[in-house]
Amino acid sequence: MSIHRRSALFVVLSLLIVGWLGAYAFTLWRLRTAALDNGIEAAVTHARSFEKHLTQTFEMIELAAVGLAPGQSTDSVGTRFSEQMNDALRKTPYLRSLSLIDEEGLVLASTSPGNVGGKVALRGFFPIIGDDSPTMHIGSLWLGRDLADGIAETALADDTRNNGPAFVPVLRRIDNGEHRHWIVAALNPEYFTLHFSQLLPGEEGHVQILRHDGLLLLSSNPLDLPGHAGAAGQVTEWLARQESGALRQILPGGNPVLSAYRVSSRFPALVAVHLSQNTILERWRDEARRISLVVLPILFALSAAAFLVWLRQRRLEEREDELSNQRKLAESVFAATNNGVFLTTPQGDIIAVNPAFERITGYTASEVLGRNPRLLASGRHDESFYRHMWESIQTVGHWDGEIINRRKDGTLFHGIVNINAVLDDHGRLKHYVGVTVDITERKEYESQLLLAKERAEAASLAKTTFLATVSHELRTPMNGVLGMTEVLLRSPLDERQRRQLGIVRDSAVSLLDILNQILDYSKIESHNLQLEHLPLDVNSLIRDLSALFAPAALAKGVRLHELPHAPLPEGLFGDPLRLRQILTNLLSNAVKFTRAGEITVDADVSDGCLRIVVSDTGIGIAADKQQQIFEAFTQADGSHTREFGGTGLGLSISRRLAEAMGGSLTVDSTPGQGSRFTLSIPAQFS
Amino acid sequence: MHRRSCFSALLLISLLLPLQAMAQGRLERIVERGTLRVCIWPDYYGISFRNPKTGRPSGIDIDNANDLARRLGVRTQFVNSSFATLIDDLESDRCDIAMFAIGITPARQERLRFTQPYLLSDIYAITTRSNPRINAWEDIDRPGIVVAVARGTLHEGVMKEKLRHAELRVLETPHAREYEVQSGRADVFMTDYPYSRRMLDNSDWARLVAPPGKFHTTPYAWAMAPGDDAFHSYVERELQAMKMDGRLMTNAVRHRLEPIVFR
Repeated sequence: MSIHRRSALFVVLSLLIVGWLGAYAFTLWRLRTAALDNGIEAAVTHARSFEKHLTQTFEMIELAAVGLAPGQSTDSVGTRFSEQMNDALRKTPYLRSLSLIDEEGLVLASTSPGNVGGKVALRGFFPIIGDDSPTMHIGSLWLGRDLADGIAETALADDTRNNGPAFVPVLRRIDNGEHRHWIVAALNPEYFTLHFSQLLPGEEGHVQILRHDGLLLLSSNPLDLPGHAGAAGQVTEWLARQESGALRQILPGGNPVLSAYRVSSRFPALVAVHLSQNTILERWRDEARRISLVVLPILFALSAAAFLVWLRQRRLEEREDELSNQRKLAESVFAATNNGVFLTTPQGDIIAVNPAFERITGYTASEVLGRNPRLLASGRHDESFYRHMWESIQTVGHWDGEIINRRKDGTLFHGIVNINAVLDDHGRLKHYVGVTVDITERKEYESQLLLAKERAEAASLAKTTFLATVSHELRTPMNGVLGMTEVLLRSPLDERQRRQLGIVRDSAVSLLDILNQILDYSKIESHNLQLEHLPLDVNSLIRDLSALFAPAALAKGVRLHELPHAPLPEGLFGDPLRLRQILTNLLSNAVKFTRAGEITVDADVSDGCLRIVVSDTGIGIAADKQQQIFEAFTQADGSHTREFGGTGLGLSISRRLAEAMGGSLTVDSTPGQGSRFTLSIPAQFS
Repeated sequence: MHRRSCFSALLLISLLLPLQAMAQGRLERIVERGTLRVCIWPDYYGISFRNPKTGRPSGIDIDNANDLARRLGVRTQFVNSSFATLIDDLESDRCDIAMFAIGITPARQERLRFTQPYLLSDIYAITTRSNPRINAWEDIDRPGIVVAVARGTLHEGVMKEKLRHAELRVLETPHAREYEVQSGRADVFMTDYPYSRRMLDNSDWARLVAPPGKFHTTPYAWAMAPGDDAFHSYVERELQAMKMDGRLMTNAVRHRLEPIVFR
């Protein structure tokens, strides 16, 4: 549908643009036609005006000739000529001269005295002389200023063109009784060309005067050759049919023109006006350009706007498609997810649920739509639970938590519910969306796991308790053995018995020691270890232990001493017994694993931490064994038990004690060079 | 009888008064008469032109004459004259002074007394717009070219002397020059700066051909009949004053003649 709409819009916009362009083109075409029509009209008007002017000029000549005709006076023509052809005739700018000639062409009198006595060649005139009717006979263009130097030229060749003066002779017969005379007027062509070019500048067109036989007499176009026929193009042909007319044509020179011609109403001459079509069209082009300057930008802007509208439409549709896809995707997710999803109005009325919701709750969508999710309430949660939930949703727009709900069939189910407020772009509440994950099964697994764990822990506790009990129970008889052995040793015994009994005592002590350690470990494991909180004198503790282990070390040739350090602050609190146990363990290990060199003890309190460092130059511990030694029943080397004795529980217990105090026990060692154990525990001052 | 003798005596006195006036200087006579008679050439456009349609005179020398008369406390009376009749008009006392930019030529100086020059004009040629033979000043003095001048103008003498190849045609009136050129009987006519302005302003057919450099400049002045030193020196003083106080230039600007004002 959108494709159709879009293409319809496109077609409409395109049609609109094409329509505009068409109207614009039509306007331009109309303007062009109008320009040409106006040109034709102007040519016709010019032709009429120039024809009138030409006819009046001829009439003036005729008037002068008629005035000399017989009957006006008894004086001879020559006398009357002298009287009448005075300076007044000289003032007519279109006349070079006016002369009286006899039938032979001899000039009898003239307004220009220089002409008198000359001979005029009476040939080349139109209409041909010989006709008796009193009419004007027009010659061709003669070179020369006046009759005195006039030369009849029937056709002016191009190469003989010069700018010399020329004139057009016009004959009019006058009868004087038995004598016939002619009046010869020498027409000044420059007067006409000036008149024409003033009214019609050369670039706009030109005006020609032709004889009725088509011969060109003069033209305001300097390139025209007077004396030729055909300079007016098709005008000569039209002339045969009608006395005046207008036409579009191409002149022999190749110029397209709008021509209008008009034959003089009384004389055998005509005026042809040729307006340059190029000039007229150039004006039309100028106008078209000006219009285009206005129209085209508007048209372009409109087209661009139309295109933008179309583009925007397309983009909107694309976005709509994308949104629709997203919606479909969301719908498919909504439908496919295993989590129950419900959508409510801000008031809490359910407006949509997904299939998983139906599956989890047992309600169909139609049963819950328009109802509040409260219908799922199981009654297992008190009122404050729901109140908190609602407050959270309203204040932060979110709530999540576990909830026990009731299915339609009455059974309960565990769910993790996640409720979120959905806001629009302006922050207004539109919906709430709730997602319920059914965790009933998971809950069951969890409770089973918890049960198993509790069982396992109970078993472990039983084991530890057993160990502790066994150790305790073993220690009691062991103390009895030791006590009796001591008693026996104080009794009179021979040397051999004393030695054997000494072995018994040592073994018992050793066994008791092992039992004590196992008991300790058991206590720690079963979390029965109770730490004391007593004043702690670390200085004397270190001093005592150093003194205690120094003889044993010295016996092995090892020097044990306390490194000089700043006195530790007074008032420390802790469990002195357990601290002593750790340090004893560290020192006994040091003495045990050091064959030569020295053992040092260092202590300081900094950063709220009591740090005691025991360093030795003993056998050291390989890097990969450094963690193992802290595990129960482990020594760095299995063979060590045999060589060095001990249960391997010492370090394990020490670390657990340190950790129980909130501290740590770490080792830093290089095999063959020695070990460095660092005990860090929080320094407590109260 | 007695009354008749009285009348005769009055008649005699009235006849004698002009004679007495003749004996006075021209200045006194002008004042007495109340009019300053100024000879003008009414066709001199820009100088002393009488508009043929209204008959009203206008031009720089009309203004100058009115200025001069105002100084004398009299009115002006313009008397039509021309270059051809100028000398006769002054000698026969038809006017007191000729004020129409009269070129100072030796021939005129023999008969007239000039003031200091106040205009200086070169010679210009006028042809038709459609004349293809004359395009520049050099085209004038060519074989086959006909040059028209008016009789009695300074151009007649100058062109007679200067033309080598062209034919010179001397015409009886200044107007005849124009018809001669317009009808094609002549190619150009020679004139001065003010008259050439007239042609350009009033004729749609005329085309000015100016000399490329200085051709022949002529100083223009006012002319009087010789013999009255007082009148002459008065007019000289007034002309000097008009030059100094800018009245001359103002009048020249009014008639667009400032390019040829001579200081």
